[in-house]
Amino acid sequence: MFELGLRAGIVMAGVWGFLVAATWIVNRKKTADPERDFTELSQRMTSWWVIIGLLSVGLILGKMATIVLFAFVSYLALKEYLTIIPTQMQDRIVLFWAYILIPLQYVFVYHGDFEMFLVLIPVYGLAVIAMSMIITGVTDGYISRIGTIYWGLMMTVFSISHLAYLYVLPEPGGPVTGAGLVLYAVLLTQFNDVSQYIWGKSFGRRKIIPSVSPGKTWAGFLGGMGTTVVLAGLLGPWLTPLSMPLAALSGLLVSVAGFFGDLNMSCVKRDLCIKDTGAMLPGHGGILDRVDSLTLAAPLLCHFIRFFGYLGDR
Amino acid sequence: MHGFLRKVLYYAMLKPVIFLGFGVWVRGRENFPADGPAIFCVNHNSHLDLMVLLAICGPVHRKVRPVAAADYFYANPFLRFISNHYLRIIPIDRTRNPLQAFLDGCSRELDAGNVVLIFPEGTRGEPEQIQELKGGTACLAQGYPDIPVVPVFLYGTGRTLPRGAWLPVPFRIDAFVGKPIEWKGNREGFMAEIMEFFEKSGQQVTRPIATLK
Repeated sequence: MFELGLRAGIVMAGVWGFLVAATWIVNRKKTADPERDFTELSQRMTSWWVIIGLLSVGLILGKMATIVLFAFVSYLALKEYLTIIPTQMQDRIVLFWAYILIPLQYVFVYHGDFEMFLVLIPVYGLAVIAMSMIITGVTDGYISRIGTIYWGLMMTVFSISHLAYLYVLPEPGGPVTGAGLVLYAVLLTQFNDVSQYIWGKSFGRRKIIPSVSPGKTWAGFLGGMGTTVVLAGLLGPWLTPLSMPLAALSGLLVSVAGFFGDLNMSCVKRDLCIKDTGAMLPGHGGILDRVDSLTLAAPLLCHFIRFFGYLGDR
Repeated sequence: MHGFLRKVLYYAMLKPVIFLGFGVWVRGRENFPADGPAIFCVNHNSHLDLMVLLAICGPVHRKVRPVAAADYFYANPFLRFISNHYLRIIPIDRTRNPLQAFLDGCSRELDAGNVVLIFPEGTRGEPEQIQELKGGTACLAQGYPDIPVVPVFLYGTGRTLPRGAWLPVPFRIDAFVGKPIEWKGNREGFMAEIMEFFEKSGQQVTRPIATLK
């Protein structure tokens, strides 16, 4: 309860205010224009309530709750990924080991063991996945089988756990709290998604990579980037140990990495010829559709904050 | 006492494990009847099929009675106990006139207002492969033309816990609940309609079935 910190608490209250205002606007639009179909927008809003609600509960309850929450997100994301990729029956044991790595990874997060947190999946995971895959004795499609499983583990467990690691970065007691850092990271990536979407819808014409995603335009990308950099510059000095210029730079990083993370999942879906990865979050699709931008942004932002905020005086 | 324990197990274990642990994407949930009697006709890949069905079918779950082979589910006293009090199976003795035993057992439950759960493929078979359907459902429907027969197609249970495996490896489960199939006076046509629903649902599954081995 006391780990949240005053600053994170104020920002969280701001997020809730924003959410209430957005819901109010959507409802007003709905009554003003009953002819139009607002189903997807309303579903999206409902999902945002759930996401922000769960995150708030986690952050208010503290370290354990937050880490368990992100471990569960990793689990859901990995399960969704393994569900949509073609997997072979004999590889079930390999997938079992992939799942086992999730609790281990988050235990190292909980203890703030940065080295083990970093090497568990790249070093031990690499070995376990390869060994168990070899023991299946099946060589058909070996490279693609091991490649897809290992890559999925990096995207859903290694990447997302970096968000949780932000929680254990600051020493307790200061004005900058772990909850504040997590809030900063989630807020920036999700806000970047939404603002890229809104800029793109309003002004977007020239497409960036139509073969991957026809919805991504230069206006959306650059407009979203500008908005995110401003937000990062404003919130960063308050929620993180970064100075304003560095915070703005972290906003740039999130914007670019979030953009590519989004397209990353689009490529996966294009390759598999599917539209959504699931239906867990109505209006958004599956959980992978929501955390896609985090897959690249979370590790980069975590290391950026650690490097510029916590390594300077050591 | 069993009733109370069933309730505890249902809400404290079955529902969380099925919905949080595995996750089910249900399409056509509104096609489940609010109350019995009814017949559920489900494709069969895994022991999880029954659990998933109980978790998704709503309040009517209390009335579901699965048709099951006596030689398998009464194999030992423990299984017999579980089968009778918790799974509440309709036991079918496969050694002597199984069709008659099936019709008698099901009629008794339908007359009592319960929901009979039938796996028309008979066995779990190869994971995620639909087998030929047996005709028992049609015979039963002929005797009860006014009772809704709801087809349900499940995908993912066979991947999660296939026949012969003891370790469940989670995948998301897809469930398709169809509109009740009407009895039109023809057994073959009736089973063909169920099969058609299974196949059509199978094509909607969002992942490449062909690559499964």
